[in-house]
Amino acid sequence: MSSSPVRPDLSPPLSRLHEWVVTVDHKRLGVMYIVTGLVFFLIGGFEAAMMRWQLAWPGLDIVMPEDFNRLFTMHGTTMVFLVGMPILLGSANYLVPLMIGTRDMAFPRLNAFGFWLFFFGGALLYFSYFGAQGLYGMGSAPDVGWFAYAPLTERTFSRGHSTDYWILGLMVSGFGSIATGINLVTTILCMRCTGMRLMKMPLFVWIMLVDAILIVVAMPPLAAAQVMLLFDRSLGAHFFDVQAGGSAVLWQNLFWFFGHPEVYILILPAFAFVSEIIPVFSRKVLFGYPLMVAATVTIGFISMGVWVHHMFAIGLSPAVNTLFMASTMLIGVPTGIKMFNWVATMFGGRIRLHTPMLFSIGFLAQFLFGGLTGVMLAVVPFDWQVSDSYFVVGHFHYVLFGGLIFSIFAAIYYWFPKVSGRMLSEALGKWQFWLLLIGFNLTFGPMHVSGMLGMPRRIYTYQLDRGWEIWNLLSSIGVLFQALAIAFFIWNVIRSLQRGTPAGDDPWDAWTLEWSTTSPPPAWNFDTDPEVRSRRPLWDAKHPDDPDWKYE
Amino acid sequence: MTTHDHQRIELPAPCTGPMLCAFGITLGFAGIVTSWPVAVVGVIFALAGGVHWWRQVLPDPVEITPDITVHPTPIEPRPERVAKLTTHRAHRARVPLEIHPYSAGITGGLIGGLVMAAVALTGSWLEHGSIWFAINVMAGTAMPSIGDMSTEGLLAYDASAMMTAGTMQLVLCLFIGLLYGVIMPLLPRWPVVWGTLIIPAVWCGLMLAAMSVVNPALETHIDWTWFIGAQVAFGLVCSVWVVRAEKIDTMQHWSYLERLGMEAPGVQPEEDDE
Repeated sequence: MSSSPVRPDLSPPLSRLHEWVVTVDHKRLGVMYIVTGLVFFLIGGFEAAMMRWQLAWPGLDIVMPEDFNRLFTMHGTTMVFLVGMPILLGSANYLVPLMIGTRDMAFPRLNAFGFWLFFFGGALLYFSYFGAQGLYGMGSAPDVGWFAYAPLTERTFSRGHSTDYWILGLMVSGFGSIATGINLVTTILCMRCTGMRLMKMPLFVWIMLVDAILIVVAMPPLAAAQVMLLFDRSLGAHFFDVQAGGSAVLWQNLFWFFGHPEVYILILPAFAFVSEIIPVFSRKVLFGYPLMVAATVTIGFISMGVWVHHMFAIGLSPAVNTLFMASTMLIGVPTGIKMFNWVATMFGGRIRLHTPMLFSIGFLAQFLFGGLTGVMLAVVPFDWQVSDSYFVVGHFHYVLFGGLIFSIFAAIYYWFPKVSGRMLSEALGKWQFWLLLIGFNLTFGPMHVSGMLGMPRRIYTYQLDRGWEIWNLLSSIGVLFQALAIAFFIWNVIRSLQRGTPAGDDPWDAWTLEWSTTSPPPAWNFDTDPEVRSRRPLWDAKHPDDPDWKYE
Repeated sequence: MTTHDHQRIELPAPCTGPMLCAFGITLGFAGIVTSWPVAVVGVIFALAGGVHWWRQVLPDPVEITPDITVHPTPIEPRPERVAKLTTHRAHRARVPLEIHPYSAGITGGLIGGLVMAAVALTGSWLEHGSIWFAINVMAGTAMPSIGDMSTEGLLAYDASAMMTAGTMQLVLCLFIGLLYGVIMPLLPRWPVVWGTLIIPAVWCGLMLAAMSVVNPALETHIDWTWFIGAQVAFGLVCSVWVVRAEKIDTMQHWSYLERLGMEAPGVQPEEDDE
């Protein structure tokens, strides 16, 4: 059935808002995901800045101890669930249909449902700052850490409703992620354009396929654990209540069975971004495409079997620890293959150091550092020494900030022209890159030292005589650089949206299908259904004398 | 990339159902931590949104036909041809492409060893009035008893010390000469300068640090001026000898047949007359 819906008679701003609220267009939903994620990024960044201010020097009293607990809980929860997840889902939403040459996702309305569940779930979580205290007078936002270890989440130790908000907000948002994951898998498997066999897909699409499968597999155990915890707290069950025969370790197993794949769910899209950007700015084909696909699938598999490395310090048997130490080290192999292939792609290329490429190179260096400290932490005796210390904080920020966030900025600078039709300023972008590079390393590099010196994570303050002062001060100074970098970014986006240079359809002389349509793309994506013969259809069109399909 | 023309484009119509349903579900859960009326309102919203969504897709999906007002710029073939990577024999090669024959290193080492011995013996004769002093002290590396000798003993001929020092000098010079032969092609710009000054300087520094362990007798009696002079003399002679030798190809780009020395017309690439 085909009909034109009746548009309500609304004033222009409200009309435009209405268009966005009721949209089922994958591109608009993608933009909404990403913008919401960036707003939460600012909120989570503010929370981090408050913590760094508090820790800048021993004995400061910037925030109250209980507020500090809420800050690190909400910061971690926000950055993982409300920043990383929506930006990766938004990117996949926007780009996958364009890259595979289709008009929309397989289930457009489910797509909108997924976004709104995420959005309202996040809103419910942050409503805890008002609701949890306002109605019951027992605390405010959640304060149990982003992984909410039992039994501290039991009603006995966590009065009021703050932990319930954590459970419900993330559960609702998680349902949305699962819906979008299913949608992505179906779209990629069933809606590719003519000629796009699996091994002709852009690597971005391959990685997003593996990522979506991981989401579908890893999120339900978290939802199940959260329902069990809700039963404990609301219905008197004892799943995680140790004193009544429950098991706190069960929570850890269930949480980390989700939690470690989640790390790869977050970092795989980073791999996807740089796998598209590095070849274009090196003017070379991606090195070792089949091996990159194999490495991606291998990472997906192995990531389901490494979760116990988060639990080395809880006293499991040596056999279990050894097994998971080995599996954790094993995952370094396909990841290393990817690193080598990115470097090999750059090797001998005509590298153009535009902002997306700068951020991609920053990703390579910093993710490598974070990966190496990850291998160190995989060694059980070493992990015992630095478990729950700032060394671990430094490690995972090198992965998730130095890796993921840098790659997100690379992606924003790369695809912003496609989304908006305007170029971002290169000069402002380079200011942002260098400030963020300096600020990031200044903040998180010294954490490895303070961690090795014995500083535990999640402490509110510390004494003067521990030798941690200079490292904490450096970390806090780094935040100023980062804040300045983000200010440059915001200014760049606002300025470019207003008077940026028109981008044209293909400003980077790139090769995948999204660059064959207008910037921004129309609602229908392509005037006609594309047909491809290689992984780089635009290369084939631009260079009919030497097309890729002859060699693939 | 090719495209199919003349298609009718239909897109799913905008729909409030998913948003309402998601809002209702969230309110429903929020009722657990607020109050039951919130949950009831949530259920109502969820049902309303769900029904609206249902009616959007069943029995037939509601679709819209957009007005196609914008078109992408057609992709034109680039006038310039694709630049091919032209490879020469240094492309992805293991360096060096040419090496000095190993025999040059061995010969250079032997000759350098003779010159080095001459310098050391001259120094010994000038400083101590006996050429045996240098020989005995050198033998101390392998003969701990030398360390207990008096100065008079060190100045006298000792057959076993002579044999030991001679063998050591021969073996060391052979190996170090061979090493020179191998590494000279790898050294940048002025290999003779490297061989005469840099390598002896590194070697002397190493010996200065390790002499107390390697040869305590030599450390006690060594004259560093003559020691360094002997090393430089060796380096100069050996490196000049090696560098003067004609270089030979490493054959890493040669085909298997060429390495075998076979002539196989039609299999091997023909040489270009030009």
